[in-house]
Formats: sequence, C-alpha cells, structure tokens
Amino acid sequence: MTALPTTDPIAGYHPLGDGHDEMMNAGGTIREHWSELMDAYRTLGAGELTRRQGEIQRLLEQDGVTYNVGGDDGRPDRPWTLDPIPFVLPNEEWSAIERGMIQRAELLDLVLTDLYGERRLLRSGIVPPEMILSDPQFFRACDRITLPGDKQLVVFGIDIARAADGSWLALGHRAQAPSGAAYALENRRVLSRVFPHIFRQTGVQRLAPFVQALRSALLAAAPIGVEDPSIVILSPGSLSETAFEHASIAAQLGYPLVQGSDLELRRGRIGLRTVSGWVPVHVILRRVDAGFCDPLALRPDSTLGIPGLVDACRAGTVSVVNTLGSGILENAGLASLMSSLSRHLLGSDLLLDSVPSWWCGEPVGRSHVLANLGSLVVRPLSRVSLEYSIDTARISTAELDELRRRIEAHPDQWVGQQRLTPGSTPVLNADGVEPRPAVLRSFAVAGGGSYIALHGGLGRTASGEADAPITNRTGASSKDIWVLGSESQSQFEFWPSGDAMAAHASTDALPARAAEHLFWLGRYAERAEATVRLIRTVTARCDEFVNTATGPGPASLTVVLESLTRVTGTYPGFVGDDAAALFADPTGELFSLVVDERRPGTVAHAVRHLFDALDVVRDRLSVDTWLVVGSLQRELERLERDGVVRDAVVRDGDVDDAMTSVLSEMLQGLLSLSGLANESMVRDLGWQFMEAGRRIERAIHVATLVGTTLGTQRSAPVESLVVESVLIAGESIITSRRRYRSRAFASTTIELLLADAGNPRSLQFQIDRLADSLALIGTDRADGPTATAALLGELTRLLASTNFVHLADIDEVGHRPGLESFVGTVRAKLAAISNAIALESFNRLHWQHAMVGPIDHRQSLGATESTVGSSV
Amino acid sequence: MIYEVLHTTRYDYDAPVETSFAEVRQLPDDVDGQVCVRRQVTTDPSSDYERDHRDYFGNLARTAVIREPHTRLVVTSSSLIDTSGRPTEFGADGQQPWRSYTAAEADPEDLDAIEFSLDSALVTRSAQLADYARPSFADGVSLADGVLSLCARIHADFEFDAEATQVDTHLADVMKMRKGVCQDFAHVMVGSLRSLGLPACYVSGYLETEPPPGRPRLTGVDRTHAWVGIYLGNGRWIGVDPTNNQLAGPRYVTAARGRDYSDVPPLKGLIFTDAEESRLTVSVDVAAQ
Repeated sequence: MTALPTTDPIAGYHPLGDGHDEMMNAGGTIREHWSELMDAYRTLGAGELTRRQGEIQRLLEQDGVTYNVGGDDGRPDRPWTLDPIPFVLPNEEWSAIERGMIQRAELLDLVLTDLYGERRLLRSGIVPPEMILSDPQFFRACDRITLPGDKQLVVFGIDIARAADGSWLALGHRAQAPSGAAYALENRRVLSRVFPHIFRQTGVQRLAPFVQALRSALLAAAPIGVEDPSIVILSPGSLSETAFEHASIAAQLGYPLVQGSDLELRRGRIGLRTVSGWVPVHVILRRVDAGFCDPLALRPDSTLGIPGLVDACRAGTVSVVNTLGSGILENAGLASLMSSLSRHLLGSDLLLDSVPSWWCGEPVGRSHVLANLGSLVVRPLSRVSLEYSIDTARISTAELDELRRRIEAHPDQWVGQQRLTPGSTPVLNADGVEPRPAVLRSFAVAGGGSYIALHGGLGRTASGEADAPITNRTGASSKDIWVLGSESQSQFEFWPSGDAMAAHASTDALPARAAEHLFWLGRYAERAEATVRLIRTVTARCDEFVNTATGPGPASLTVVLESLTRVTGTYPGFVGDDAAALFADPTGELFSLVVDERRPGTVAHAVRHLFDALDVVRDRLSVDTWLVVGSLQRELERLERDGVVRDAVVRDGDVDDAMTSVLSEMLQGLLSLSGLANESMVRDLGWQFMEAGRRIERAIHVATLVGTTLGTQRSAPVESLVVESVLIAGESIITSRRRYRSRAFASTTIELLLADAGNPRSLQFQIDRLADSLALIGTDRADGPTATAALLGELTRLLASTNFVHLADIDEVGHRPGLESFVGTVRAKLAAISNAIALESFNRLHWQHAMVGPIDHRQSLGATESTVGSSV
Repeated sequence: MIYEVLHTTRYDYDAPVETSFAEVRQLPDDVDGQVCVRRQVTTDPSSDYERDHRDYFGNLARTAVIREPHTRLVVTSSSLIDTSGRPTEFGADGQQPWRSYTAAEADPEDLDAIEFSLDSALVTRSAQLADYARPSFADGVSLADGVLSLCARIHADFEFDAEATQVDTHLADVMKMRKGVCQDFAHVMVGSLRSLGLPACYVSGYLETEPPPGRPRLTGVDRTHAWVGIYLGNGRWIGVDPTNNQLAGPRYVTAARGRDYSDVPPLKGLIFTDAEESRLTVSVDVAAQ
C-alpha cells in the first residue's frame, strides 16, 4: 500500500462524471448528512484511517468471515472485505426506501400466494403464463403448499441502486433464501468496534432488532397447534458460498444448523436425527435452493435434501421458510410487471421503481431488446440458470450475434434491462478516498401484519472501474449502511418480544452429524498437539546429538525416531528399508511429518481435518475460535509456502530454527484451542463428544508412545535418554523430576504415564475422564447398557487388575512382554470404543440411490413377465 | 368395458435396503370418460407411512415410506375401471380447421392449453419436429384429420424396438434412429404437435391384455403403456395412440397425465442401502370383467 498523499483523507475527492455522488453534491460541497462523519475522519487523518482499515480486516479474519468462491476444490475461501467508510443515509430518505421495500414485499407475497394457489394472475393474463410456466423455479410439486399465518413470503431481500437523477431503483429481488443479512450484522459489529466513538456520536439506527423479528417470524410460521416449535436452519454444508452466513445466523438465532442428512421423515413428520434419537422439527429456515430440498419430489440427484419433505409440507406438519416455491419471485420478467401488479393487486402506485426492463417473450419487449443489444444488460429469465447477467456493452460482436441467436430461439427465456451505473460513494483505497458505484441489499421479514425491514443492510462497491459489475464473485468490497437515527430510536415496541424462551427447546437436541464432527474435532486436535510435541522433542534431540556419531545419544535418538513413525503410523519412515539413510539425515522426513497435508499421521493432515470438523460445527463454537484457527492456518501456510526455509533446512542437514519456532507457535495455537474448549464451551452433550474424542486419542497416543519406546530394554545410558525423551513428549518430565529426583527409570515412567490417576497425561487419567463423558452421553438411553459401555467396562477392569510394576519386567531376550501385550490390548479396546460410539451415536445413513425406473414397456415383447438387472 | 388392472413392480436387492421412499402414480381416476370403481396400492413390506395427494396435473399420487429393512420390495396396485365412456371420436371440436395455439393467440383463461404447449423436461419444441408434423397439417385441414394423419405416419415411420432407447434418450436421437418404445412414440407425437403450437399431453396407463375374439393383440400390453392426449378446447381432451395407430378408446385405462414421462412415472423413488445390485420385475394384467 502506497502512502497517502496528504493527511486529509478526502482532500482530493472528486465525484465520478455527472452521476450522483452520495457524499458530495455537484457543486463540490459535502452533503449535510456526511459532514459530521467526514469531520471525524479528517480528525483521524489518512494514516489512522488506513491503520483502522487493517484493524477491520484483522477482526473480520478473526471472526472467520469468508465468502467461498468457486466450489469444492481446495479451500476457495476468500476473506470478506469491509470499507472503513460506511454508506450514510438520512432517516427520511431511508424511510422512503423502506416503504418502497415493504410495499414490494407485500406485493410479491400476493403474487406468490396466487401462483401456487388460484393462478388468477396467469388466467387473467396480468402475468403472461409462459413467463411463469417456463421458469424451472416454478415447482409444480409445491403447488398448494401454504404456510400458516397471513404471509407466504417470510424473508425478502432486495437490491437497490441510485440512478443519475438521485432516485432509487430496484435491481432485483431475493426470495429463495436471501443471503447477506448476517454479513451486514457482522460488518456493523466490526465497524462499530473499530470506530466506537464516531459510531456513538453519529447516532446510527440499530440492526439487532431484525434478528428478533426474524425469530418471531419463524415462530409464527410454525404449523397450527404447535405451541413450542422446534426450529432449525437447513444449510447445504460448509462448502457453500455463504457458509459463514448460515453458521452466523444459526448462532445468532440460537437454532441448530443442520444439513439434509440430519433430518428424516418419520410417520409423515420431519425430525432431527440426534444422538439420542429422532426429535420432531416444526420450522425449517431454508438456505438450500428448493430444487435440492427433496430428492423424492424434486431433483432426484440431490443429496442435500430430505426425501418426503415436500409431502410433509403438503400435509402441513412442517413449515419451510421461505416456501419451497418462493424462488419464482426471483424471475427477472416480474420486474417489468411490478407497477402494473401494484395497481392491480394493491390499487396503488409503486413507491420504488424498477430499473426499466423488457421480457422478450412479448413481441414488443423482444423487438426493443433485439434492437438495443449492445446497450442493455440481458438476464436469463430464471435465476436457476447458471448464467449471470450479460452486459451487452462489454461483449464482442461475435458474442452479441450468438446472444441474438439464443434470444431469437427461446425469447421467453430472456429479459433485457436498462444499463445503470449506480451512484458513487466514497471508498478508502490505496490512493486515498475515491468514489465508487455502490449497490445496496436490504431485507424485510414478515411481522406485525406486514413486514419489518432491516434498518440498514449490505452495501457493495465495485472493485475497480466505474461500470464494472458489482458482485461478490468478482471481488467487490462491502460496506456497512448507516441509517442516521431519528428521535424514535426506541422502536422496540414494534418488535414482537417474549418468545426468546420458547427458542430454547430446539437447542437441546444434538444432531448426530454435529456429534460426530465434535468427536473427531477432539481426536484431531489432540492428535495434532501430541504429534507436535513428539516432533519437537525429537528435533531438540537431533540438535543435541547432531555432531555425535556414536554413543548413547544417537542410539537413543534411533529409538525415539522409530517410535515417531510407529506412533504416527507414517510407515515406512524410520522403520523402513531406507531407515539408515533417514537416521543419517532425518530433517527431510521430519519436515514432511509437519507439513505434508496429504500424508495421514502428519501434523498438517491432523490440522486440516481439524479445520474441516470445525467448519461443520461452526455454529457451536466461540467466536474466538477463529482467532486461534486463523493463526494456526497461517503458521502451516508459512512453513509450506516458504520453500526457501525447507531447502535451507534440508541442505544444512540441521534442524533449522524456523521449524522449531513454527512448532512452538502451532503448539501454542493448539493449546489455546483446547483452552477455549475447556473455558468457553458449555458442558453440553456436544462437549462430551469432543471430550471423549480427545481422551481416546490421548490414551492411544500415550500407550503407543510408552509401548514403542520401552518395549525393549536398552543399556542403562541409552534407556535413560529414551525415558527422558518420552517424559518430555508425554509432558510429564517436571513431575518425574520432582517425584523421582534425578533418575527416571522405565518402571517409574510406565507408572507415571500409564497408571498414575493424578497425572492429566496418563492413560489412567484419560480412561477416567472418558468414563465420565460416556456416562453423560449414555444417560439418554433407555434400552440397557450399550456396547460402548461394555467395552469401557472391560478396559477399566483391565487397568484395575494390571500390576504396573510388573509391566517393566523383562524376558530372557530383553523384551518387556507384559508391557507390549498390555499396550496392544489397550489400543484394540480404545479403537473398538471409538467404533462403538460411531455406531451407537452417529447413526450414519446408508447410501442414497434412485429406485430404478420401471420402464417395463422396454422389455421384450410377448413375455408376461420380464426382468432387467441393473446397477443401483 | 370393465377392466380389472393388476400392476406389480418388484425389486430384489443384493443387500438389505434400510429405507425406501416411493411416489406411485398408479391410481386411476374418473378422467378421460372412464369411471374408477375401486383402486388400491399396497407394498410388501408394508409402509410405515403413506399419504395420497392430488398433484398439479390432477393425478392421484401416493407417497409411501418403507422402513422395515428389506431385500425385496413389491409394489402392487389393483383397480376396477369402467372404460365404456371413453371417447371414440373427435366430435365437433375436432372437425374445425386446426390452428396454432401459440402464446399470442391463446386465451390465458385456458391455462392448460398454454401449459401443454410449452417445452417440458423431456420434450423440447424444434424446427425439426415442426417440419416432421407439417405434411399432416396443411392449411384448412381439420384437427382430427391432422392428428390421425400424424399418428399414422409415426406408426409407419418408427419401429417398435425395446433395445434401441434408454429412459434418458433425447427426442432428437429418437428422431434420428426412428426406433423406440411407446414412451418415445408418445414423446415424438407430443413434440411434433407442440412444435406446431398444438397443446398435447403425455398419458401413462394400461391396455387390455387379451383382445376380444377376432381382434389382434395390441403392442404394449403386459406393461404400462403411454399415448398422447390431444386438446380439443373447452377443457376436452382425446387420447391417440401412435404405437398402435388408433384412438385410446375403451380398451385403454388412463393412470396419469402430465407434460411428459418425467411428470408421471408409475413409480419413482429413493432407497437407502449399501446394496450394489437391484433386479426389477414388472407385470401388468388388464382383464375384462
């Protein structure tokens, strides 16, 4: 970032061309509603503004705010960007926009009700039937499904922009599963934290009541007769573009974030598959596109849905919000009809105009669009189409001809829209504060007999030149929208309240899938931590003996390196055919054990799986988690990317400081993570699963470490060094020194690491804690002792009956058969417990297949019965 | 005629299926002049949940969930239908000269006419299909004559071949191969009519198994059959069967009507299983009572 030219951040600000600028009028004077804010920014100065911009990015990153671009290859998360300068609107102007927005919501609610009901709008020709009937978002399977209450459209999103004359125009509607509200709330949280003083002084209207309004709307949508509805948020999963939004909304509403496979139709009702069985669900806030929501009635290839959901909606046993058919309201052709619909349905004029647009299914519209190709924006009729808007001013002649052919072939599938360069607003970038065109998205939810709007929203500005498209996919930056307060700040009487308690019912149930990921979160976090400790111990030893060719030092190092391979399961490693070469120069292998993400057993592999599990249970974790995760990820990336470090490390044959420092940083991160788990997570069922995973992992690790290092007796000097390494890796060296003074022996180490119930690193301690967690997990079961409980009982009895002193006994060839057999049994039992927990609690689904279509008339003629075999 | 229709679909799997979800459209109704006296659908194992609804096109559809683990699923429907009222002629509406029912000319009040003139999942209008249909529809030709001519030409031009096509074979490929089963014959006719602006629907149903003495056995018995519904205006439809080149009169039983096969499969569903193989056996018997 280059230095700012002056300390006055807005000294060189000039509005773009002759369009409308939010901050400055045509005469170059700052508009009144901006002046106070701009004075405050001037006082801060350009340098401070830039510093705070960095602070904003840091906070967003810490909260894990991302927008996933692309899809499932790798990690396409892109950090969310937020401009330090808000989009400012005076109260009166916002009120006008809000009235227009609410009127549109009312109007579209009537349209939705009619399209899936009487279809009078189609029969009367007010809406041309083909416009709706040929849109794939018109789901015939969802015909006649209605929600209780007076509104069918519950959550509504709208994009607006300012035209050159200063008026506001609607660009499009979001009704399928409008996204962006959580980003708006996050932007507000961050901006008000970075500019606390300015924020307070400016008197900005609050966003928080919107969350309460959304909660009330969901409660109101519950099937009739359900008094204490259980509510969930249905998400397509952590790879979705707006995964952050789904988790954030779920966390703010306090309802569980679930995926299709978490829900199941039973006896005509939808319920959540939890660790303690099936529990009914009454309202689903849907973040999955309708077509994917039910593979039985809608798209059969979807694995994101719940078979039978549509039928449950028809029966009225569950309410899906927005309704499964609501995507039809995003039909681009409806925009051209809004004013006639308003007159017809509401008997009044439209308060907020649409950008002029023409549906090509109509001869007049078609000829206008074809005659003006080259100056219009052309949009596919249906948003389900994977295509985006085409700015015909920015495509080649060949592309124009192709587009013309496509429009002529299927005119009813296209809509032309007048090109609009939205009014500009100030944005801070590397060269200072500059004007950029901006588009706003805001939201309304059904409530109080009409709609309740968010007092603000999500602003987006183009990344570069004035007329570039503004979408999140193309790298636009976001803005908080500040609606300046009026006296009537106490609008709380508008927000229905008192329902907060009712919301709790649904949070108790732990979805089986969340339990599974929490369990593996515990296992991978512990695995990463233990592996880091072990490698750190080994690298320290390598440094120590680097210039020693023979003697007890190198001999003990060999033992520990072999154990490292066995404990992590990264064969062949230090026990394979090439072990001799690796002993001579272990750095390459050690480096790989840290950074090789694709190699199971490495630190990077465990951390990657830890992140994946975190993503899934995001809504259950403290926000601070992302602070820790972010730093862990950066350490790994630093080490991985920095090939220079790796080459230097390997070339020198010396364990470089770089790796040591990365290992320390990572250990610190992992310790913080376990600290958060212990200090910031409620001890609910989910925590118990995470704890069980952690205890099982640590128990396996410590048993294997002791078994592989001390299974064979070495000469006294070597064994002494080995024991010391084991105690360091097992985080028990201090205790050992204090308890056994200077000398530690195999026997005392076995005692301390396996049997000592007071040592939080010992096997006995892990089994005790595991028993505590499993007892709580198991309390909900009515059908007698579980396999998990039986296995745990066997393990507890084994430990109780073992004489740990004798485990150090050696046979005639110097082996410790008692120790080896004990460790073998313990490992097998722990693995069996892990499997039993999965079987009993995680309730995995079988694979979903389509039934083979009975196209029986395809079989040979004349036979009264015929068969076909086919692959499921 | 009064027919007893017995339709059995059986799946055998190589490993247990935990749960099956099925949507069944084998519940004939009082449509196309027929009268349903009795109808039922059963599953073995029996379903843990079932519910009937009338779909967008007016068909009765059953959703059934089978939760008992099973390696064999049998879906059986049986019904008793009086078909004597099914139309055997076009009537006065069909004697009018045919005319395009395209969007601009359509009466929006008549939503069906528009719904069944548009593209659907498996049938897309095309110039090729319009060209194929046009020789039957010279200017001034009556709707009835045009339809019967097109029906006869499809019957003559296309070969019934159960091996030639798959469920997902495109209509354009069927036009090229000139082979297929009754589903393909029906799609060709529906697509040709729609490409000229004539509303047409796809009808799924059954044919009488044993012909009356002296009459030939029809193609497509012993299995579910498909033919075409022609819109005559004023809410009236008539069935035409290009596979057998005749009107779908009293020897036919309508099970469901939609825009194409994908709207009205007799049975579709999902199974949750680790099984890798399934074996499908279907039998249909339509016996005169």
